[in-house]
Amino acid sequence: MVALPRLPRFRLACPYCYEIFPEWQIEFRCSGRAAPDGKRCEPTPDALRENRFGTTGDQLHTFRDARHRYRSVCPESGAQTTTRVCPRCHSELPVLFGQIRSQLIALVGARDSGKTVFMTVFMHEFGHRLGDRLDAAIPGADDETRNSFSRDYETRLYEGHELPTPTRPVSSERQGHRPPMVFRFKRRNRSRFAGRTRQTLLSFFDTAGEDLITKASTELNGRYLEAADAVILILDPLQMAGGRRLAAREALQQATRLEDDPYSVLQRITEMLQAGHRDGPVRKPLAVVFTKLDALWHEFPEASPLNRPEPKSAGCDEVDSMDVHHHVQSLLHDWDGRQIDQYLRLNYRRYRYFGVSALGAIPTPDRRVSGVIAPYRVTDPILWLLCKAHMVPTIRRR
Amino acid sequence: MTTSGKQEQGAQRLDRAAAAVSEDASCVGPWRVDRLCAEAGPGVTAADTRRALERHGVRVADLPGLPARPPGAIAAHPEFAELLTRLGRKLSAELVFGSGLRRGFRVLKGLRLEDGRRLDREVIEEAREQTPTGAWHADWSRVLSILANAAQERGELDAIALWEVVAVLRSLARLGYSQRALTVQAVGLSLEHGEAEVLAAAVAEEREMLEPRDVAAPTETEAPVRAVDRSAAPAQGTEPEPPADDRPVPAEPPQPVLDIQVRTIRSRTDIVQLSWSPPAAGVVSLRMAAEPPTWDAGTIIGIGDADSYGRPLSAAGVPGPDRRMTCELAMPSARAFVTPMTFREEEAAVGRYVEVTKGAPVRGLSARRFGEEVRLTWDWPDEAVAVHVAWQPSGAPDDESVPSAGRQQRTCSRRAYDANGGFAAVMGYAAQRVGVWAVFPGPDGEVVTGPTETEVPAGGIPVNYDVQRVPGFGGLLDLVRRKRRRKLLVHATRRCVLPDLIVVESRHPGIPLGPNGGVPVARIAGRPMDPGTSVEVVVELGEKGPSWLACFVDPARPAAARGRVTLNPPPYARLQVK
Repeated sequence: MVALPRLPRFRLACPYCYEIFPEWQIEFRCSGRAAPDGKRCEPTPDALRENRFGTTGDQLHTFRDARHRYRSVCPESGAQTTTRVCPRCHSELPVLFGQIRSQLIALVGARDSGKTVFMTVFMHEFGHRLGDRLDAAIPGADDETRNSFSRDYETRLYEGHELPTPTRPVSSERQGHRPPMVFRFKRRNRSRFAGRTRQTLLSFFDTAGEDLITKASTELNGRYLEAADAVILILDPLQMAGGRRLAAREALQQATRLEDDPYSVLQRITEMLQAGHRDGPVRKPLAVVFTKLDALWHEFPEASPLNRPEPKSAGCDEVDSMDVHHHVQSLLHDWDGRQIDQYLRLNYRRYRYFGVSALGAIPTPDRRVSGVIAPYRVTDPILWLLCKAHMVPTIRRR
Repeated sequence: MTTSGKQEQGAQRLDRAAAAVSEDASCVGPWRVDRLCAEAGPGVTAADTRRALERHGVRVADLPGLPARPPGAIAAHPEFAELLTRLGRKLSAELVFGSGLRRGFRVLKGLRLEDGRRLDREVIEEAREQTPTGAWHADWSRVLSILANAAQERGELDAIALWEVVAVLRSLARLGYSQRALTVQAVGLSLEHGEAEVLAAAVAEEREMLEPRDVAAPTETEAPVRAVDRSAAPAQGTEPEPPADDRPVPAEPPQPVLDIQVRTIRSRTDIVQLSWSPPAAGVVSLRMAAEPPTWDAGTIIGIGDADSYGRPLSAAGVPGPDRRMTCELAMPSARAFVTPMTFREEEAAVGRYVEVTKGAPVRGLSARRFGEEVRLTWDWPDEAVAVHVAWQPSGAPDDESVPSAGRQQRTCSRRAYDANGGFAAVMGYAAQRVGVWAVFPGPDGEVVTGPTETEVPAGGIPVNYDVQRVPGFGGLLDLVRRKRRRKLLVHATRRCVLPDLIVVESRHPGIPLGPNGGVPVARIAGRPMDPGTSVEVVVELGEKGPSWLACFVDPARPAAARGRVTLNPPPYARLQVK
């Protein structure tokens, strides 16, 4: 059977800058190899990248070739290249970008709510446990992700037992180039077309807590949030008056800050998501994740879904997920967060509550973890989002 | 007292003071010498003091003046220190020389590396060309750019290097680090040892000068109690000085050390760190033996008995930031026990002993129950290749050789432990006694340590309940009459005594989490239940929905009558009644 050529896509989102562009605008970067006649291009400063990310060093030049999608020939040197770059930020696009789906996931939340720890532990769990469960792999899609995830996040937490330093605001990152982490999720299809695989690019943009406070970074975040396919909102129950009342004393190491109140954070995020849209509920799936459950475990009844073993099914366990959702919804009332629930019901079409403990224990006052990292339910939110994107199946038991 | 007697007493006092100084410092400056001289009393000269200090291995040196404020080149950039912190560096020269700095450097006469290189504009420009790309690129470039600007002014780079070293030591001194500990930290920065000693002494003296204290003879409560090897420093050397009026002080018995702790140091498998709180009275000596002492902790014994137990350790303790004494000890190859003995006059108090062999049992064992599953975590011993985990219902015979129906054992590898975030196993709802044994490679095969045990409390006997529509004709009638009724089924999975139950209805958005979360609509009387049997109750609900229905153990009943059951709800969606 002859495969028909795929039509170009009109709307693609760069997993690094979250800008939208049609497929035919994708540019190529010269490979720098010598052409058959010996000519080769030399790196020069890339004004576009420097303007967006600050100094990034010299790069080989880019060019557009509307006739070719996946490989081209440099018009200056004549060397072949397969390196495709985003027309807006000149970041090198992952292999298969445009051919497979992309899921841009924005990770937002207040300062010290545990966003970076959550993402690091999720990725570690995926590599060690969830991957087996789903028969899936989730390698980094570019060198920066592969190297920085291992060096800056995983090794530091799992071997150094140190919590990550607070994430820097986007505005200061413009000069420091903190790109989103891009992973390629690949899973073997178990249903009708056994043997085939499903793939998607997962781009996680980890905002700093300050990004949700300062006006300067609101615009940049607004762009990320607008292009994101799904949002993970990380909330810290210890920033809520009721949560603090019930929490273990050793977990209350830092004072509450008015601007980090989960309700205020939710309102700011919602306003960013609704800006420039017609009035109506937000359609993007929103996973509302309450972290640091380890500080509140002693309060949960024995039969609570947050005291159950984690589901071990090869997908998103819908019944378990709904039980957790309802349970957290009720806990919100105990934590003096009733208005969060009301606000979500009025402003979001698809949202779900999750309760997680990324570390499994309360860290020490000097931001260290004693003992092994023993996460609990940390994969639930992303599994739900992957399920909404039809990348993993929904399991309905009982 | 005669003049010669007073001089002799002064000399003794000086000797004791010099011994005390030597425990904390390896180098002092003239200010400390003068102070010791004054404290020793009349008739003791500065030369005597210097000799006494040198006799105790303390070098007297001219200490450098420390910078009071940062050099202008970095004072103009308040973000400089924060940039370094973000880059995980203590010294900006690390960005220039990289690992070259680790081979050693000096700062007192300008920054100079062991290989002779100096910090100048040329090397900074070279480093700027090699600035790594990635997340920290901007911070890195910024620091180098500030250094490059500073290089335009003669001596400014050297001043920055000195300031950075001093700033690190000052911050540690503020935390209470002793002078020896400061020297160790300075050497840790790769500073040449001699300069590390001198700078640590200067910072410690500066700190002492900022906190002036009465130079009168110390009182009993101020007595400096040091952990020393008695063979190296006699106990009387650290005894509190007698009051000036020679009145006899009632002898306080030695206080045992009961909180000694041993911990391994990450990435160092050849040493362990011991720490303890200094006792209120007496001098601590650590003694090591192949067997634990026969005396109980807290026993007061004679010096002769104490000396007959094991051998004294030459490791001297230094006070750490938490005011606990710490010392490092080479890991013994065979099983060994360390016991702190507190000596005072002719008596010794036996402290709590610790095991410091590679085969020490697992520490930090904790358990958490998730229904039938129990998750165990512990501090994985650095060199252990595996850990055996065994569990059996509490009350079962604990002899491993006796077969027990409920006893189960598994082996957990390091890889599995780290990957799975601990060890998890389905152990059932009964209370369990869990033991873990670390396995070390030994010369003749594996060496298994003694067990570390913990008790996992029982989970409640699971009793499930469900909510269903009223079946048959009655259900149809309900639809016609617009009645909201539901059938509640309670069934036990094991033989148990069902306590009194209360069924509540709630119209809040969230499911009720306790009996007070809604309006009671029914009560179910407690009764004995066999597995497979069930209790059915038809519950009539309020007129309007939707509402939540949930079942709880009646809190009005006394705690003893509530039994030990866990009421497991069905999927929450079924508890919502339209």
